[in-house]
Formats: sequence, C-alpha cells, structure tokens
Amino acid sequence: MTEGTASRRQVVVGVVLGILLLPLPLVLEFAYFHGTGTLDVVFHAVVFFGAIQAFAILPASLCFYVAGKHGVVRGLLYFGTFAALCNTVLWVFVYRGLFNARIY
Amino acid sequence: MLARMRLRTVFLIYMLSTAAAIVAPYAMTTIVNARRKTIPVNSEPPQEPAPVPQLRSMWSGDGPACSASNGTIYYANGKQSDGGDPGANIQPFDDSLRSDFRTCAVSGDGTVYKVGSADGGPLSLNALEPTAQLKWSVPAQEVCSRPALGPDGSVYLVSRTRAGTTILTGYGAGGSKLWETPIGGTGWHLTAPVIAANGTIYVSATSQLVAIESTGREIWRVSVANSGPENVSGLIVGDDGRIFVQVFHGVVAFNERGEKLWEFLADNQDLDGGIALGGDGTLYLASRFLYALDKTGKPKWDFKSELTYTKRDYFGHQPIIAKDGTIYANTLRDQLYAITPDGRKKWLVSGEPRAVKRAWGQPMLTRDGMLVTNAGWFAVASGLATTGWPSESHDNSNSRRQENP
Repeated sequence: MTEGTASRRQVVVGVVLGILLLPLPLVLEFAYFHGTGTLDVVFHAVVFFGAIQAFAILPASLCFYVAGKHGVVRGLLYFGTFAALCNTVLWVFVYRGLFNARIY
Repeated sequence: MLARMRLRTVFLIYMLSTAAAIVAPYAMTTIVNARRKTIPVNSEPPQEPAPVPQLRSMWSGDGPACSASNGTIYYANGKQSDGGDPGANIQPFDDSLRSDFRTCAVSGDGTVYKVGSADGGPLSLNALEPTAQLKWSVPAQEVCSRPALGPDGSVYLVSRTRAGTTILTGYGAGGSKLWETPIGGTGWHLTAPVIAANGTIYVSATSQLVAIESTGREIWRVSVANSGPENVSGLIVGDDGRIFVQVFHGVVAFNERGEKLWEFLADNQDLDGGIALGGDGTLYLASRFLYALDKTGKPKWDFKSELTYTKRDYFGHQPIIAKDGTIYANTLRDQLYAITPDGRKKWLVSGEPRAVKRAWGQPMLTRDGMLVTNAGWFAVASGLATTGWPSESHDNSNSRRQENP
C-alpha cells in the first residue's frame, strides 16, 4: 500500500477542494428531482446534504487516499465534517421555531 | 491536535457528523411532533356541564334520518318514534315495504318521500302516508340522490341512468313526471338538489354548478373551483340567494347570477363533514377543524377537537345550528361538541357511551331542543334554527328548500 503523505499544505488543498466540489451534488440533485413538485423542502435539503457527502467528499477522498495524498483526504474530511455539523445546527435552528408554535 | 489525529479517527468523525446531518430533520420532526402531542389543544374548560344523555341501545347504529312536523322521527333503519322521548315507542314504519329512511323527506302534510325498493325489487320513488299507506310510486334509476321537496308538493330527484347520463327529474304532487333535464357530470356520487326561496333549483354536475328553473329550463352553468379536486359534495342556499358549494376541503360561494363571490380551502387531508349556514350569514365548514367564515369567506375563528394532534381527529359529521346560535358538531373520534357562536367550547361529551357501545354518529336537533344521536338523546337549550341553512338538508324534514325570509 502506498505510504501516505500529509502536510499542512495538502490539508488546505483538501479543504479548498471540498468547497469547490459543493456545487456538483447541487447540480445532480436539481437535475434529478427537478419537476417533482411533490417533494417537500426538507426532503430536498436532506437529499442535497446527503449528496454532498456521497457524490463529492467521499469519492474524492477515496481517490486521494489511493494516491497516498492523506493530507488532502484529511482536508476533505475536515471540510465534510464542518459542513455536516453546520447542517445539523441549521436543522436545529429551522425546527426551533416549531417548538414555540402556539397551538390552540 | 487535528494534524496528529489518525486518519481512521477523522473518517469516523466525518461519518458520524454526516449521519447526524441526515438524521437531524427526522429526529427534530419526531421531537416536535411528540411535544405537540403533549400540548393541551383547546383545553379550556367548557362553559357549562354537558347535558346527561338518555342512552338508548335499540337504534342499532342507525341514526335519525328525518322528522315530520308533528314530531315523528324516522330512523335510517326503517323505524319511527313519535315526539316526546325519542327513545320510547320505537316501532317499524312498515314491515312490508322493508323501509329504509336513509333518503327520506317529509312534506308539510306528513307525506313521507323515500327512494327504496320493496323486497329487493327495482328502486322507486315512493310517497307514503304517515300511516305507511302508499300514495304513489314511480320507478327510479339505480343511482339516485335524496329528493328535494318543492313548496307546491313537487319532488326533484337527481339520478344517473344506465347510459351514464345524470338527470334532474321533476315530479308533480301526484307523482306524474313533469320534466327531465340532463345536467351532465360523470361522477357516481350524486349531490341532492337544493331549492332557493325564489324556486330556482341548484344541482351539481361533478365540478359544475347548474341553476334550473322550476319548469326544467337551465338558467346558467358555472365551473365551481379553480384549484384542487373539484367534486361537489354538498350544496346549500342562503336566505339572500347565495349558493354555497362544498368542494373537496373547502367551500365556494356564488351569487344567484352564478358569479363567484369567494372561495375558502381548508388544510385537510381527511374527509369533510359538511357545511351549514347561520342566520347571521356565518358559514360553518366541518373539516379538519370547524371553521366559521364571514360573509366574505374570511375565517372568523376555527375550533379544534382536543384530539386533533394526538389522534388525528377531525370534524367528520355535518354541523348543526340551533336557534340560540350554538353549533353542534361531532368528530371522527366521537367528541360531541356544543360550540358557542363566538367559537368557545360550551360543552363536550367525549367518546362513545360505554353503556350502549354506540357512536354518537350524525346528530339531529329537533325543533323543541332534543339532540338525537345514534346512541341516545340530549335535552339542549334550543331547537334547530329556522333561519339560514342550519343542517345538511335545511330542516329535519329534509326539504332541501330555502323558505322565504
């Protein structure tokens, strides 16, 4: 197996690469589900954020892992983790309003 | 520290955070729904204790269908009782006719009109004396609405022929066929006609409202709704000539010239109960909630069953309006409510009575203040309203006719 290399520069490259890959799942998700108006916003969002990880971060990480660029892999995973945590916080924020909804 | 972390650990954290992001909306939805179920909905105490029901188990789940002006109540299972205690002296109307009063209507002179068959034969429209003697009988189609009664003894019936044509037929007081008008429409659910105070007959043809003169001539025809499923499930006419059409989860109002006045659509995924019109022009729609709409179709208030969010309860029965403005409405989960005209809980009887194990079903409010249900009756403050369109068929005789104000 290729001996992995890691450096601060590679980690930064991985993070930047993760950011650049973001639009890809958006395009995929939009192309696939466009016109299916019955899907609600929550489902769209789940598909999108799931697709970020499934179609962008993970495949790219696998490629760089095989190439031994462990630093880039770390960078991608750091960014993916950051994006997922942000997403979780976003959901909590969105649903927070429902907790206070007045029901009479 | 991040740089020294093993790649396997970084990957594990990444996977966990990704899983959290995907699961988060579902988890939040579950938590929010669980919390909503704990929130007391419409939990204000009732303004007065509910009247004690006089339970009767003999009605076999067949509720009151119509009543005559002398107080006689005819039940869907073919039985009748005289006035006073509606649970007493229940007897068969006529065994030989195998009476079934689900489509009955009673004219002012006590003649009982009903669509039915004798001993499993073909359907017919029958006019019967209060003594059950047959006055006249005419053949009817296999699919018929309930009849509407004109002021002069005429009877109007919507039916669907074997050829698939929906027709409105007018019969004279003696049972002679006066005319027959095709009204179009493709649905098998036929909404019974209603008659305005000026004699105009309104019928629905799937998604159209049709106005017909008492001579059978079509006056106008309009499309009912612009959005959503459009099958008409109920019609009522106001004292002022406005026509209210109950569509799937909503109401559309028209004036007597067929011009659309307003449309109200409720947020509902279940069946609707029905519509009723108060004497002050307030329209009530029993749906997911009980909605009170003003003359412009704007909601004045809505009233929720206490089990709306916990048991997905909704108002699945026709609302009834009393003379004092109280609205009586039963829900799918047998929450029988009396509601004040300003939308407050007057009283509630929760759940079907265990003693008779029968659902309350669709209540009927007699003119002297007895709320008769499938499982028993209540003595309430006042009888059925005499203005507006206070019950499904306008009055307990099921005339489906608006009186002159």
